Amino acid sequence: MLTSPPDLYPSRVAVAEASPPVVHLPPLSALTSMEVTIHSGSLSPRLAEFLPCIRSAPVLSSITFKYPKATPIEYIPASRLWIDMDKWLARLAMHVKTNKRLSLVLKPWPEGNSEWEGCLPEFRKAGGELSVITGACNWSK
Amino acid sequence: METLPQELLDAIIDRVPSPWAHHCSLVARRWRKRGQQRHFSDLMFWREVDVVRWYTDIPQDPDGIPSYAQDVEFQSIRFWRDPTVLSRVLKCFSRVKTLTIAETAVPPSEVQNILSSGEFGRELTSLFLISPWSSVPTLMPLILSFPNLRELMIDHFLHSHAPASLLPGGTCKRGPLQSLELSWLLNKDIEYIALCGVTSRRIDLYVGDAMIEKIIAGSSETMRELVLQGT
Repeated sequence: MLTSPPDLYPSRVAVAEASPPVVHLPPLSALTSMEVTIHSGSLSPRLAEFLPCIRSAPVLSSITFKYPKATPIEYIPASRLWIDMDKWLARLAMHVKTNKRLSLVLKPWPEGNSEWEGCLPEFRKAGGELSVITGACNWSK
Repeated sequence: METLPQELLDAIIDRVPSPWAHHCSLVARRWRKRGQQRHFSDLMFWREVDVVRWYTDIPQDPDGIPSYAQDVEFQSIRFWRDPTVLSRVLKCFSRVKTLTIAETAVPPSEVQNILSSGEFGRELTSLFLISPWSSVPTLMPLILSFPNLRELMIDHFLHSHAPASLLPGGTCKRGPLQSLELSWLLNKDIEYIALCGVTSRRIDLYVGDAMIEKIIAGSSETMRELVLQGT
């Protein structure tokens, strides 16, 4: 069991913590769905840097992380990357102004099985819903 | 056969499998128009000589055979010996709905001629620019001019000559596109597209080093769907 997972992106996170995202996007007032394709097992530094620039999407109802089964998303709860992702998702979930809850969908292709309970705690607390479409993630807990 | 209504004949011709469809126009006079409409609906030009042959062999009547073309593709014509051929041919494609320019040059000197041809582009809804052999500023007046454009895909500008100043050559007066797909573009090209006011309801972006934020910010009030791809 992995108790103290390594931080995959220590230097990037250190920079990110020192300064907020440089680019401030205006509220994406019409955005209802987002799909992010992840090819190499984890969010690329560029994607991880970019996504928090989306600070407000009041009618967003779903975010889909799509990834190849051969290189599943590696979720490591204590990594700065996923802590930051969790906080970003939580912020979006809290600021949704519709009756629908923000849903995060994990969608592998082709299909497989996965364990995912307990992932992204802040996002869930903020009212976000997590669903895995017969996922194939290597979720380390 | 002679008593069949034309609508029924047309429906029969529409069901003839593609490899044999071009024979239909030779069956009978009443089969000709529909047969030709099927045969000439999708056109692909691989060489300048084919474009020239089309221009010389087919009567260039905007209401005739060229008007049957709905999906036209120019592929791998990187240089034009006669730069005016492209605009002369495009002028008669009055009903084209989908235009693909793949690894093909649009001579800068001909852009105005294409635009002034009047009929071309009026019904164009989809424009695919795949590794075009022209720069963004060269093609932008075309992109901005098509009044009914709904879908724009720009993939990998090989000849990206971003303008020295980022003053756009025009601004988009059309409403938002239904779909905008950009991949492998340079920062200045993306910035230029954003400055020209190209917006969309669905945006599909490859997240490289380019300034995708500019495009997203430009569509902040219209974009309903955002697709990001990145390695």
